[in-house]
Amino acid sequence: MAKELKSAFLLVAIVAALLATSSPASAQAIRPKLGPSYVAPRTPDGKPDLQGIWETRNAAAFDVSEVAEGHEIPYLPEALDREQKGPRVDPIAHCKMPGVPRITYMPFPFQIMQRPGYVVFMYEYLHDQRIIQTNSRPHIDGIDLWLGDSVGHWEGNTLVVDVTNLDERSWLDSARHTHSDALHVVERYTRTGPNTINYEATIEDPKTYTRPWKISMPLYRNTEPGFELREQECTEGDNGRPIHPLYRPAPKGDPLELTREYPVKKETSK
Amino acid sequence: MKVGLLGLIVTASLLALVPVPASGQSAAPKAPPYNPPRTEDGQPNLEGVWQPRTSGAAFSILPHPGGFFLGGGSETGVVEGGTLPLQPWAAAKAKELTQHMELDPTGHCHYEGIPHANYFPFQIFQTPKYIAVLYENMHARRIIYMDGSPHPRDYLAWMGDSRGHWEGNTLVVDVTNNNDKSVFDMAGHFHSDVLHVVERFTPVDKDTINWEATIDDPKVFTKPWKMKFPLKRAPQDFEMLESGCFEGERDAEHLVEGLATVPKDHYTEKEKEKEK
Amino acid sequence: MRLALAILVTVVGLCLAEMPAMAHHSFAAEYDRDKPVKVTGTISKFDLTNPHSWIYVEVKGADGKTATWGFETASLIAMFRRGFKKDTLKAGMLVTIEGFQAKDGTHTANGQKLTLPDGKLMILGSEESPG
Repeated sequence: MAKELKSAFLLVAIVAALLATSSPASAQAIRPKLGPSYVAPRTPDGKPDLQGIWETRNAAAFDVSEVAEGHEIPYLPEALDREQKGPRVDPIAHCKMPGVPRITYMPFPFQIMQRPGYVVFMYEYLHDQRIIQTNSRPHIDGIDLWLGDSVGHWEGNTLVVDVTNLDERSWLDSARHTHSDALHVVERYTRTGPNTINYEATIEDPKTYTRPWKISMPLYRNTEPGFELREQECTEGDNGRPIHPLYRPAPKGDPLELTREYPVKKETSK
Repeated sequence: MKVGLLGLIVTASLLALVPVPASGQSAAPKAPPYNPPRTEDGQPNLEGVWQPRTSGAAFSILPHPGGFFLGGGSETGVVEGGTLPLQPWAAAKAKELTQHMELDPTGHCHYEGIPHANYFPFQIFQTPKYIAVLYENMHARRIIYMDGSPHPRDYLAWMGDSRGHWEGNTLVVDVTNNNDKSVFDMAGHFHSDVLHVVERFTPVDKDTINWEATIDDPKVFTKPWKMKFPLKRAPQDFEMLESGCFEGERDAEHLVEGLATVPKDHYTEKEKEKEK
Repeated sequence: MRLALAILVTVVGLCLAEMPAMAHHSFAAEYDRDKPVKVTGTISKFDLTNPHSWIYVEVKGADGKTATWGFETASLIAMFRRGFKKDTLKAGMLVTIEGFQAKDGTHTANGQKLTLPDGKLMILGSEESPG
């Protein structure tokens, strides 16, 4: 009797062990592992491949606290005071660059390109670009740039971009969330699936905030066949008012697209 | 008999192998054409930052004297033959435009277009499906699609639309969909929206690319013409930097409120004046 | 002969290097070669920016009144590559600055040369290439 009991226990133990070590995929219907454990395909030089055209789908461009941890921005009282007494016109209304991280969540797609030693961000908005070297070179000293100075490096599956030298005049959104020239942003881009990247940015500014705070959002791949970035510029329109023409043709195959020939004859040009 | 025939055949074969110089030429050997290194996917590698040597094409693409704020001048210009085959109405308009430098689009922070953007430093990146050219000025860029896809319809842009292919080691780029607002230089040389540019980038040594373009615009010129200048690789420590335009406070004042002496909607007002 | 050639090449190289980073609006149309100016005053603001940097100088006139002069110089990029940083010129610095006045006669000029308090000369532009 003891021998059979022992065998029974052994059998139960073996089955339990098998169940414990079996992957969730086998336990459920076949489902790919998504989230931070997703392993992205690699570029020829062995880096996680972030390439493609990506978009954000949130309201951060209106108010960045929508995507902030805790949905609040930890202002220093004197900084909030300064902000409320400061300029009231959004710099992008005068065609200035949106700064970082705002450039990421402007409602326009952007394209990521990777070459050995570089990750290049090509934004549709204002044709903006960030040519980021992934060799941890030291930051530039002594000048302020509207998109800052970005230095990149890889940490496992994540591209980490350290941004300093940000011009103090940019806003974080159109709700007039401002910062000082001490702003320091650390971005993290991690593929979480075939068509998603998790984007996080830690925002630090000892002259404006009581502590660093974090925003995060998914970036969604644009999967429309034949989709390409088009030219987007900001310029002065009638009455000197800035306008943002975006020349986007009809999607491929759309009846409108097929009926018009290039060059387009414009009877009422200019 | 057999040996004789064999001998003939052997001799003929041997003779066929001996290179015969063309009559009249000296026997001096020609330098072999430059063969650039390849990218991982086999394209001739043109990557890097390039500094064009245009001798002041931004001032004028034709031969021009140097002068006060006009650069050092150029004896040859960058146009083959040194003259432009302008239609008479276009020649008159070009002359008039030189008196209206306030209308120069680069002074209003517009993109320079092709070929104008190529007079200033740019960085080339090559991927299997497209070649990206990022310009320092105005952070302009273009993506040259190499996948055989067609130009879009119903689309006009300052930087046009670029589609390319390789011919040996030469990158050939077809640029269409240009608007009629960008200009060739600050000497009044303009084009229409049927401008068609075909560029050829040919690497000739590890630090030089010969760039040339055929410019075709039947609304403005009487026939196509060519432009060319070399591109030199930038020094190792040269890094392209952010080059905004609207960000300069003083200019923003002018641009948003309009220059005091210039009509706010320049193009429309100029056309209205013509119609009077 | 070789030395002369080398010098020529260097000079030409420098001229090429002095090519404006941007073919921005025509300076020749805006500034007057027949109106050279030279002022001494204290800097009130140094705006290192694109497409053109601006140096604002408070100049005391003969009548005792102070006028603000604005000197337009090269782009942030061109100035940075010449060694300028945002704190190279500070408010309160007494400088002598020369250039060519704007055609509209305002207290605006294109900056060419600047002399620092310690006597150091800084080139802001050149007659051929305003930068």
